[in-house]
Amino acid sequence: MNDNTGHIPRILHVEDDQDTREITAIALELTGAVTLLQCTSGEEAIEKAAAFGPDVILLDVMMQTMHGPEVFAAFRQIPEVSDVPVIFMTGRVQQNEVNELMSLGALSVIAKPFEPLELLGTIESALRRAPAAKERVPAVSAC
Amino acid sequence: MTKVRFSTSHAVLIVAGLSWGLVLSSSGAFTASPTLGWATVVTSAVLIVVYSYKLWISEKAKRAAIERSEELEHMRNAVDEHCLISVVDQNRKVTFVNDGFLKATGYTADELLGKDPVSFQIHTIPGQPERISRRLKSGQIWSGEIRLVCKGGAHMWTHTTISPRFDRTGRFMGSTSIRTDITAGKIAVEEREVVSILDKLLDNVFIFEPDTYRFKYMNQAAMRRVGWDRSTYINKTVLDTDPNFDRDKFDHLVAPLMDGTLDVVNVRAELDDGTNEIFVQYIRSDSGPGSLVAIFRNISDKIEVERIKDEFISTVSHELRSPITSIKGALGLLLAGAAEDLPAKAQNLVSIAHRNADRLAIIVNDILDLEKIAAGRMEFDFQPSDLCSLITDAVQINSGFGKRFDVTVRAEGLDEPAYAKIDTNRMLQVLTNLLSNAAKFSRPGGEVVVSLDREEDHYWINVRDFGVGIAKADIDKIFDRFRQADNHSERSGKGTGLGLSIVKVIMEQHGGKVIVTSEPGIGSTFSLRLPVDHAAYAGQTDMAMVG
Repeated sequence: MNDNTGHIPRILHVEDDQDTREITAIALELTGAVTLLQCTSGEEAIEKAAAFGPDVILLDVMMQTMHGPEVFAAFRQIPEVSDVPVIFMTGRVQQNEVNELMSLGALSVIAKPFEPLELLGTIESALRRAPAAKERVPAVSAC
Repeated sequence: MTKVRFSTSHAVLIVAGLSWGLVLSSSGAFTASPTLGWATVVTSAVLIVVYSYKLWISEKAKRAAIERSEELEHMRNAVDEHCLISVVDQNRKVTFVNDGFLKATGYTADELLGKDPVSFQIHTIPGQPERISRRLKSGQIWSGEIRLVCKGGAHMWTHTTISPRFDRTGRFMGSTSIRTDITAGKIAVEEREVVSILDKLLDNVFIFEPDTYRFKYMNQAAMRRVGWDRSTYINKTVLDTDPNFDRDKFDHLVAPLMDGTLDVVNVRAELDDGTNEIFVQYIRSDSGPGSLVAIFRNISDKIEVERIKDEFISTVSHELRSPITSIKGALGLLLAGAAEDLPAKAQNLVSIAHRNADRLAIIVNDILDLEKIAAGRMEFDFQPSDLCSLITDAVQINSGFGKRFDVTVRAEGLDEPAYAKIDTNRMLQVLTNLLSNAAKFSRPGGEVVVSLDREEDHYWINVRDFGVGIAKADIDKIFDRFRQADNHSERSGKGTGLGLSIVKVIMEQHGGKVIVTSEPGIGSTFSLRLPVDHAAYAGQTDMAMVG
């Protein structure tokens, strides 16, 4: 992982599929400098999120134990991450499913399968559209 | 019954005899010997009487014979009226049929004589002819029901008695069959059975008059639903089944049946016992206004099965996405040089794998779309939109795909805004499908042209390629699910054949359609027709004027 300077985006990735985790990690590292924390379950992410202090959270929807929306709701209850933008990653991309996720307050929804080389760009452009994310950067570096 | 009358011939004989006696007596025989004379007279008289009596008796016998034959003739007529008689020889060849047989079956004697009865009998019980034959040969009479096939092909049920014939040495010589037509009785029994089956059917059957909606019949399940019995429903109408019954709505529902536009009307209703599918049919009658028949079938179980099936398809498809994500991602990273630069051969192989992972992802999407279409759940969000920007977006999105096949995608005719009510995402899906097809089927270095034409009430978006084209015989097939024209592109391999059937459904949902013109070797044009959104067009024009 990259060093924690605060200038490099900190990404918390919650995904229960190991292969997808690995591909995401390689893709992100290949395309830019990021600080990445990967968690294999919602429970683990809830436990580690506050300490990690992410700029953005990539959250899988269908997971073995807690599902994405549940984890999302839990994040909203943790003061340190309650306003960190969340991008869902899901294979369920029917319009109503996407609408549902967006209505929870997600920043964006990335459809699986995703283009690994375009992933970071997608995340960055979503963050650019979200002013809250920029405002959060000092908070992260303060951690 | 037999009564011999005293005929003229008897009288003539007696008169003649007496005259002869008188001649003898007057000729002097009496005078010569009175005794002899009287004896002669008496003898003659006796002889005459005896002879007359004999004559009388024979006449009586003849009369009796004639009358017996008349009687037999009468009986034969009666038998012909009632029975079908046939005789077969020891080789089961028909040697005789009575008039009754011919009259009832419509055959001529020539058509039956010499035939095996199996040719006009139907045995539904396997092995029956052999069993009958064995029984007859053992000297027993067989009796039972046999169906005959009449001349026109109609079936006749008969009660048949067959008795065997033997010669003096006990050799089997054939048999005689006597049959009675019992078809009418059989039909009556079968009709009663049909009514009884209808009565016990699990489906609810309501039969009512088309003009008054008064019930003529309800089966048991129907009676249970409405809580009436035979004595009460006869005075009820369809309107009495529910206090909130909407007569106008019902009139409207059955109207297409009455005017013959539809043969059957099919609606689904949520009732106390679950989801019911209701079929209403109008059965015409020669002798009256006919009948409306409504059949209610509880389809809750079927819906549950459909739901499970849909869910299964949906789950499987979604589950497939995870591994596809990994495969596609891993291959994409390899191609991008994530590991190290690949040797040319490896690069080529990984490209193939990557391309096919793409295909797999498309197939999964298509299956999900089709599942949604089949379940009537494909959602559309129609908004007035400018087709020019739709086309521009579609061309941009698919330019990468074009590059892969060394094909340029170009748009033309986008000078003026063209407003139609569309679901932009779905229309992008349609154009992506057509553009990627066009690229796949083009020659390297070729181009694909998207153009927009406007007619009075609709637009045409044309996607034209200059590729291999589609054979005439294949054009109708390409919109069928899982069908693909045989001359698929060698450069891209086969697709699922699902894409165009989805295009067709999406266009129909837009109130439009898709048509294709093609010439093998010259190219194909897929044309999408969409209705003009006049309101949006007017609104936009107004705004432009204000601006």
